[in-house]
Amino acid sequence: MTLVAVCVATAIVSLLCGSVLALSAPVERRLTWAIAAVSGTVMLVAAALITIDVSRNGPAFAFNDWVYVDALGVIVADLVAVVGLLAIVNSLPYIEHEIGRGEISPRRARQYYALVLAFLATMFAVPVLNNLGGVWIAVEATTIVSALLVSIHGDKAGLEAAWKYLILGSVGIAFALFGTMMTFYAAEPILGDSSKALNWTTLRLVADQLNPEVMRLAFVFILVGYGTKAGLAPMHTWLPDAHSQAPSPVSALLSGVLLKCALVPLLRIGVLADLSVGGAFRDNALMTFGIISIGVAVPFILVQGDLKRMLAYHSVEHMGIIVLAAGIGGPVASYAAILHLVAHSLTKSSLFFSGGAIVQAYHSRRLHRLQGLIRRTPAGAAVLLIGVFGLAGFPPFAMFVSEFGLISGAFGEDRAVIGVAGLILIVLAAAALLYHAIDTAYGGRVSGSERRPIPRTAVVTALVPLLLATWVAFAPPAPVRHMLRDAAAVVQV
Amino acid sequence: MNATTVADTVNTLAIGMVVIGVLLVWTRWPNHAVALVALQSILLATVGLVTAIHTHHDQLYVGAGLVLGVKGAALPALMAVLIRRARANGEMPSAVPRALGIGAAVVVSLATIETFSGDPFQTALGATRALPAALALILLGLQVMMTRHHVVAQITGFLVIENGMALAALTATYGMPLVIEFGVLLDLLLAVMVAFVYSRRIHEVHGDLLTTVLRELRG
Repeated sequence: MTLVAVCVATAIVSLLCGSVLALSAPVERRLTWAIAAVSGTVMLVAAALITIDVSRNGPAFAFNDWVYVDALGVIVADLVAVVGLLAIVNSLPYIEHEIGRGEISPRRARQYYALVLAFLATMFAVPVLNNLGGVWIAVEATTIVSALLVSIHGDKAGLEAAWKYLILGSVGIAFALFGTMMTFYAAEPILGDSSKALNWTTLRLVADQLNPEVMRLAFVFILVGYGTKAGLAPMHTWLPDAHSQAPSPVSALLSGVLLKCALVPLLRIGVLADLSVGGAFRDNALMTFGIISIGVAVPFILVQGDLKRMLAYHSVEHMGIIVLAAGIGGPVASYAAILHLVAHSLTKSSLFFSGGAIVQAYHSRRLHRLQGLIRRTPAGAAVLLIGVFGLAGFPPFAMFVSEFGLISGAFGEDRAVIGVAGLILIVLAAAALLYHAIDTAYGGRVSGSERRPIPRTAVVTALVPLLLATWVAFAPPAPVRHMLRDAAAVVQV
Repeated sequence: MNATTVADTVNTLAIGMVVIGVLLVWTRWPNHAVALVALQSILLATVGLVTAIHTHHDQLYVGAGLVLGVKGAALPALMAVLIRRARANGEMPSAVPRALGIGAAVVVSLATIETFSGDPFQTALGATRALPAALALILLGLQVMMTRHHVVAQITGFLVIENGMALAALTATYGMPLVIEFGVLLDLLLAVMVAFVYSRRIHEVHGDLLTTVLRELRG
């Protein structure tokens, strides 16, 4: 058994065992959290070992080719592990506060930790699976588990959000299944009807022989299907509801990691479609959905009065940016797409960690009720504002580098018009975000005595991903830079 | 059975599934919708059985049995229980006039079947209508889900989409590899079960199964 096989198995088994233990072991609540923390740590160590192995020896297969870990898989698995462990750490004060206020029962708290671990297990499987059927099963499993997390509070709004998420997510993912079947249909005459005909690595080798008509239809279904799950407009309508109603550490996982997991099969099958159909079919499809997603998000961000919904709409925008950059293609824009994927994952999870704690401290998500934040919650406001500047793409934050890469790539690939259009929309969204953030932090008339601090854990868990994102963008060590470059190469032809 | 008979039988069953899909757009009553989706699933299981007999693929017998047991019997029975307990067999309101809905369903189905009956979408069985019918079923399921504001309509619409995909998988490639088929069916079953749990919760909280009560989250 190879190191990668052991690590993948250890991470997933540890999370699933932790999930069962958290649900069934009759232990004190903090011990349930400790079980989750141990499982999350094991996942992180396993992900680190996989990263080192792939960095040194290149992509690796395991379990009779069911598992294939390349640079793209490593990066997304690492994001699952890092944000996952931070979310578990952030959950301790969050859930204790919810129990204290009677928002959630101690029994529900155990279910929460069990579901979070199961959610992480399903997400960890997505980027490391080679078989496209297996990837579909894992993505659908993420929907089922996370829908239960969205409604963990048991209130009306949570129920509505979970219902919409489950139904729209399942329909979207059903479209992706049809696209997967079409891919299998196109491959069967060449590869036969064994399960290997659904392995991405095998399909990649014969992609130029796949029937272009069938692959064109397959990619349309894949784009709509996994695009729904990735929050691309106009299939994004479930996203603001689910991401705003979920407990904040779960919002961080949904926005920060799950959306990226859904992008992995979309981008991988996109490569097959590009090789099969040729021309600019895939690129145009990606750029269209990218620009629509950015454009749709802008007015909703501008008029938004709810902190978590505003962050959720920003996820629609940023998923659009990633897809737009991938569609522009070429080495620079593809690198920008992967870097933006990493930067958004870390920055958005940071904002949900700090924003979630602030929402708890004020018992409200409404921006006008949070006014005067900088005087009432200095540490929370500071870390939230740092995150906001990161999300708006200011230097020295990671998104400045990725968005600059998008524009440079657009000019380099003779796609300047769409690049500039994207940039204008990105600037509008950033301006709207900054307006709301500064008004919330400095606006309103409040006395300095109304202090509402947030837990130190929330501040730390919000700062760590921001520092990581900045480090990865501006001063990545050679192996990290190579990993990003290799991942960019995976998504281009 | 010779190849032509098999192809004709599969074509007829596939078109029958589309007709049932159109009837689902037309029906107003939850228990009728459940009965129609059960009937559609039985036709799908028959497609699986015919294909299994003709091709001697053992896994297709298993697949046909699973479809018959799960989608033809168990899930409709569960939905019937849900409707009875919730006393929710009232009319399922439609977002568009019924005549317009049924007209759109017929036009879109015919156009889809006509457009995609060409060469690259031939099935191995020679059933030229099966794949286009599958595509039409997916669109019909989507129409049911989008235009009928009722929890039962949303679940039946989802099952119609799923039946369309299963028809495509059965006829285009004699099903996906068995291990994937099992995984997919398990996932879909879990999704429908979770939807049932939420249906009950929606009824407990709102006293109704209409999705029009879910209007709190906007903007």
